[in-house]
Amino acid sequence: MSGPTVAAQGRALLRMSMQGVVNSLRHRQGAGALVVFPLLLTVLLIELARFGAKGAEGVRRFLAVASYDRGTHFVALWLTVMAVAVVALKYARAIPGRGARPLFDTILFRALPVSPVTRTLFELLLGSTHAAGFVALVFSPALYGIITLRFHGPRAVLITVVISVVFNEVATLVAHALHALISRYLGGRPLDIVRVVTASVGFLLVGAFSTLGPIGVGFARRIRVGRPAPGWSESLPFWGLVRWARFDDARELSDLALWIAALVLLSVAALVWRVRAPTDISMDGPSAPTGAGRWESGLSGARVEWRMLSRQAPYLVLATPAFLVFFFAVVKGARSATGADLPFVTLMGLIGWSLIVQGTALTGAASRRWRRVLWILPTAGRDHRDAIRSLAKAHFAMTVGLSLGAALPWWFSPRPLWWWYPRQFLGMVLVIAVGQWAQSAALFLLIDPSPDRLTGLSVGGVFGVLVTAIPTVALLVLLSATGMPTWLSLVALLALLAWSLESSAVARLRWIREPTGDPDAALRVWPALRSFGVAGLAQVVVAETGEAVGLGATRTLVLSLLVFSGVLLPLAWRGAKTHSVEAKWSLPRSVATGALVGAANFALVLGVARLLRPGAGGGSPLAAAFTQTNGWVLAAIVVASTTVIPLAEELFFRGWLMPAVRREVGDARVAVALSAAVFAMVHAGAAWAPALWAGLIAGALMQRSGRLATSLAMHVTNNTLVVLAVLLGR
Amino acid sequence: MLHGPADVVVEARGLSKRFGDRVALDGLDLQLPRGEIFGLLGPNGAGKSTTLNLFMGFLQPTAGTARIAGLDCARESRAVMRLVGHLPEEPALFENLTGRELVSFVLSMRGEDRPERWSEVAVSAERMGFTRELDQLIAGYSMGMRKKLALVTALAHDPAVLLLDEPTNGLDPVVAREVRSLLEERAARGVTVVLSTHLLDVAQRVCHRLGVIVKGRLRAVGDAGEVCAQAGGVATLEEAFMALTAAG
Repeated sequence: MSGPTVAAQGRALLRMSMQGVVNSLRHRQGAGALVVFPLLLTVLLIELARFGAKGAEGVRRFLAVASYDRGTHFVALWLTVMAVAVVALKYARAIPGRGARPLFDTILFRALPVSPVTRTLFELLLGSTHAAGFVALVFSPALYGIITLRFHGPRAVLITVVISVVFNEVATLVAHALHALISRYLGGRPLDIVRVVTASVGFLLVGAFSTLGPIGVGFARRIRVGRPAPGWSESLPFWGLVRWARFDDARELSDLALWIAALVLLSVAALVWRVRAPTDISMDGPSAPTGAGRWESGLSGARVEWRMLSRQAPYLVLATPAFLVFFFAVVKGARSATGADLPFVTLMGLIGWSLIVQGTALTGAASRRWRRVLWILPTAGRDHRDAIRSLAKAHFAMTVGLSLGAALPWWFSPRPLWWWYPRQFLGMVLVIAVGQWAQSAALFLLIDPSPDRLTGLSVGGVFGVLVTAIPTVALLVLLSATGMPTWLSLVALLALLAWSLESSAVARLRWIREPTGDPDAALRVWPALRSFGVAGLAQVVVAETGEAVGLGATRTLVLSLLVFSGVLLPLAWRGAKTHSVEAKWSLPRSVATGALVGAANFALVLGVARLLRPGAGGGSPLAAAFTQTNGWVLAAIVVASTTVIPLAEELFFRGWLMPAVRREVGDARVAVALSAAVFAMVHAGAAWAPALWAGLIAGALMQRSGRLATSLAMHVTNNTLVVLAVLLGR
Repeated sequence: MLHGPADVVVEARGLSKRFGDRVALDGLDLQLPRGEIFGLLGPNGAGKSTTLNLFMGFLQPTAGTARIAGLDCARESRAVMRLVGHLPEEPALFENLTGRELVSFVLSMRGEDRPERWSEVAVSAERMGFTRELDQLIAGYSMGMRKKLALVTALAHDPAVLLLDEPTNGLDPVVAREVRSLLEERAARGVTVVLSTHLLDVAQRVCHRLGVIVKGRLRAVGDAGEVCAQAGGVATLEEAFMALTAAG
């Protein structure tokens, strides 16, 4: 009774996995992971470049201190925590990635005559990519720092990659072995509980690790470099743990004990809830409906949402503190380590990743249900807009719950300023509210518009999370770093994004139900914001890599501006052409008026600025660039700020965004105000108030004249005068 | 064939499974000969799926043994799986494949990717009205279609034993009838079928013998008449079921 050989089975498995990838690309089903992993890889590469330039030095110092000063057990703790976290998360399968996983989850696969060892090997081979993102993002950069103590250059990179891959495989194997061992004796609910507990431990450890890492570097800085870390690093929740690990101060233990007690209480409450809940959910969430016809039985939308909510709540309660500790620890820990903001891209990657973890658990697993909800709600007399908003509300409620959980540890910590927490928390709630709105809308928008293939939600899940993640990160960084006007304008931008996504989603969903005309014609504001986001992302990437490769601050700034305009210009050109406006003024009149208004505005803004802050010069980095450079860099700034940048901005703001908003809302004043607000947001770093003012005037001019030439002339004149003033004042 | 028609193919002796304090299955004794269709009846959570999972070797028994064709299901699960076609209660399928690709995968893993198997697949798919959908992506399947595909997959390699969890659940009456006749034909060819169900009419129409499990214990076993007699001489299977469930 001989079956097929292991090699033959392996070939069949590989063939079908590849077929699955091909199918997922061809049918746009579950291809989210394929998008996310290159993204994470890009972040990793940027990070490695940065480490190569600067970071290795910090890690080296930290390790020197650590091994010199009784700190070896700190390093050991750090590495252990990291390893256990990876295994725990893999075990709980809370790690994102849908690629090959369904294959292993299929009971049919379990029912095949494959020896347990072979099956484990298969799973190891194909399943280990699931956690690669975590290992790549958190493990590898730290490892690289350690490796560079002995090796340098490409060799160090190669060794890091090899160790990371091996570590990833081993962790996967251990996780599968654990799973095999535990599920041999446990089934049903007990098995679920083990997974829930493991996942929460994993999340906690991730939080611990990501806090400990940056704090470690902070230590090195304080002790070795002689410059103290900012005071608030001592308010970090894991500070006590670090001290304990270094045997520094036993008194901190009381803080730690309180914090852990709070977590344990929360976890126990969640577990009790979980055990008593009459459901069969596992960590993957309610992935399969438990009874046919359940959703069709006239449940109201609110009931449907409440059920979804209550089923996921225990998991959320468990994941809450760890997730948010992680979230804040990264921001704050990085500040304490470097004394500055964590570089934007890194933060985006880290938080994007953690949100993907959470988002996959929350939205991805529920997507099949959402697909049902999508079809049922309108038939129950509810509009799709209601569906989107109530989903957003449900998720908002959950996330605010999460935030409250996360605020807990800080009650037991010294506070830098009494108002810091309320402001942070208010900002976060605002961000989360609009973020969830955007995410819910994005989920619905990204549904494949062909009625027989309503399968786009898994891709949508990933993108939806990213849609929330990126603005959330941007906001949280700015929230702690900048003044109220900036972050309020950012909240406004995010709200605009959410609203545009929602309008587009509703249009798209109506098209799915009654397909007439072009499905993309209904999308108005969202395509404009999307293009804007692409240009912004390109700028961020250039800004982040420029300095790392030794380009220098000024050149990086100039290059990033050029890239931004260069990307936005053709996109905006194409977009503006889709919104033809009837010209009311002649071309000469438009140009002349625009130029006059531009000059007058320049004089006015200059006068007001002198009045408000006499003697204050141009404080923006761009103004500094003007005064500190010569040669081609100076020429490039002058030419760009008087031609390319105004042209790209006018094409986008007045030529595309404003008419798109107007078509959506029907009110010209709202369109002018909104486009001006976004315009101000873009200029927030230098001067948001003059930019808002100029944006309003430019919008009004465009509205009045019906010609883009008017606002373009104003913008060019204004910028030329600014440049002249700066050049003459050099 | 090693076994004569009367040989016991599926056998449980004192088979028990506990999850912590909860007893999922308590001392099950069962002998099923070749060609028998046996129905496991019972309310939700009675232990039907646990029984099938023990026979598949997915679970380790706390006490007792489960055997298929003389092989210990827990220790020789690989050999057992070769003999068995299994339909899980909620078939989790690889969503990114088409139905045909999944069947092909399952057949190659069994080393049975041969033309005659595919003609069997074509026949069973045709009878369930499932031919066209075989070439569509599983992600777009409805519950019923998933069930059909899992059934086609379970039958594809012409197994000696079929372990089916709720085979007709979620299927429309016409297809359910086809499935019943497919099972009857297989049984006539000597295949032993164990199916769990809570649909009494299905059980009564298709099964040669029935076993009623309540709270992990086998309360009654035999044909419909015998089950009625064991339940206190009631007239219908429904009454028997009610009586046995209430007594448990």
